[in-house]
Amino acid sequence: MSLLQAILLALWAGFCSFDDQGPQMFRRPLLIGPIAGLILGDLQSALIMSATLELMWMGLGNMAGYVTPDMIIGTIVGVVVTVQTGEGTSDASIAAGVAAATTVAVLVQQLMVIFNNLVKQLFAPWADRLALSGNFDSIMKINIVASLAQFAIRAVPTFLVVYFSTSIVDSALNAIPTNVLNGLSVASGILPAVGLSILMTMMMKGIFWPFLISGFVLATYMGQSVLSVTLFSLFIAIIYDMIMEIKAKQDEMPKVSTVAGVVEEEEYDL
Amino acid sequence: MSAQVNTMSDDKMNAKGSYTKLTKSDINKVYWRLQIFGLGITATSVGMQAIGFYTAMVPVLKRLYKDAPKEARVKAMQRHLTYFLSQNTATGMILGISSAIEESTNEDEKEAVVAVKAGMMGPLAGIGDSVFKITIQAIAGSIGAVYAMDGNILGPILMFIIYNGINIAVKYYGLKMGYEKGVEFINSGEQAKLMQKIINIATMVGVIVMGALIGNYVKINVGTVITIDETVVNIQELLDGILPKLLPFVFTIILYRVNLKLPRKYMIFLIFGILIVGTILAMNGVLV
Repeated sequence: MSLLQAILLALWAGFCSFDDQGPQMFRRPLLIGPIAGLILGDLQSALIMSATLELMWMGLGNMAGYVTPDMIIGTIVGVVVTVQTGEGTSDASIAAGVAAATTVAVLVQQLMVIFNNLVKQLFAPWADRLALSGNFDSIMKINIVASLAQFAIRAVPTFLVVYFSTSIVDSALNAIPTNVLNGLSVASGILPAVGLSILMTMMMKGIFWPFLISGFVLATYMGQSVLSVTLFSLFIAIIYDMIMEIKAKQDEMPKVSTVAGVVEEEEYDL
Repeated sequence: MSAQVNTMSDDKMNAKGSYTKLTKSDINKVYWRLQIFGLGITATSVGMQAIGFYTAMVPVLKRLYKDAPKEARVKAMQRHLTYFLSQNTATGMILGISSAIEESTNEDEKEAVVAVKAGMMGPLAGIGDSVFKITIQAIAGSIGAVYAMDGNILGPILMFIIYNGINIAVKYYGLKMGYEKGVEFINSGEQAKLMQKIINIATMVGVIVMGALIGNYVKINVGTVITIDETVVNIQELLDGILPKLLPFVFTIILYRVNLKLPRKYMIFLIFGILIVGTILAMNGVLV
């Protein structure tokens, strides 16, 4: 591995890291691996290795809020190991690549837990502060800093791993006890409550409480998906709108409403 | 607001969903911002993808609030910097519809934007995740892998074209159609009345879905187990017996009460307070 190749691989990992959260055009092993193969000068092995990883990690993806084994660095390291160990493309070199890829993917996953759950949390209060300026463009600062951080978080470890060895990342992560990492994941699972509660301050009115609870009960107690809760809520919303419309009409025409009121009262008297 | 001032021909143009205050290039700029910065780069656990959504909305806000006083601009920023969580591809459509409503509402009708966003993000995230993230990705991946296994460069190229072709098309046309159909719909009726209708329906949907989101996304589980006379009492099981996800719900309501009083600039203490206390509790096994 020459220094130039290591730097190119690191740049590619950094770009893919940015891409994974932004444009989302290269976020799969089969799209990441072949470019790493071109850098190393062995496209054939890279293609087979990437296809293996693509099938292995099919259905794995960064769903909102969850951090999965890191496919980006995993793929790049897997390709590097396959190319370095393989005479042509033997089953043994693919196996070595897969082993390296899964190991590094899990190691980097822990790094991403820290990055996502601790470092990136700073963006929320920063954005709140910038919002008070009333300057629409000011938030672009966060995007630039975040993009650079996102680039570095995978470029630096990739360089260290491919140029030196995996032991560096390993020992760096060993410095942080796993129970702290797990604790951090648990704690950041609570944080969506903050965002949702802010949203509530913008939407909630007194009469809405039973409806909020109904949505909650449908989703948890009755195990309905968000989509089915939405369909149900549309039905309630249309009825609510009808009632509000009738109410508005009554307010507009006091004559009619009093007549209706009298009629109603008479009915109740019976 | 301008409906009464508009001439006949203007009304006809509106009914076709043409651009009035916003220009075609504003909507294109929104697309490019979504395409480049996405939603994940600035994602936090607090507002989730709020900063990303706001970033994409900036061209629209800049056009509509060009001459607005500072307070209105601050409000607009805060409105779009609140909780948003959906799926990248599907967000195109939400951005389009939000732009249409932003364009056609007065300052006192802006709750319509918040409500429509809150009502759409959940279901579209579900559809987006299962269609674009799982199905399309798996189809494109397996087609590509078949060729790549034989060492054929066509594999990744095919995968790239299928995967990105579908995603980019849906993102772009979702945004455009969302905006144009949104404007068309809003201008098709008596504007003020229609806007009230949208607010009514969207707020109700938004509130009910928000209840579901609390149940789905806020995670608090007690790990403590108490032993009384050799009977092991699992507190979480006890709580689940009352109502599943009771703690996340109660905690969110408490935070809502706190947020009504707490100025937004102290939010950082709240966030890191929860992170630190939560981590310590989790390390001691109180939370899992």
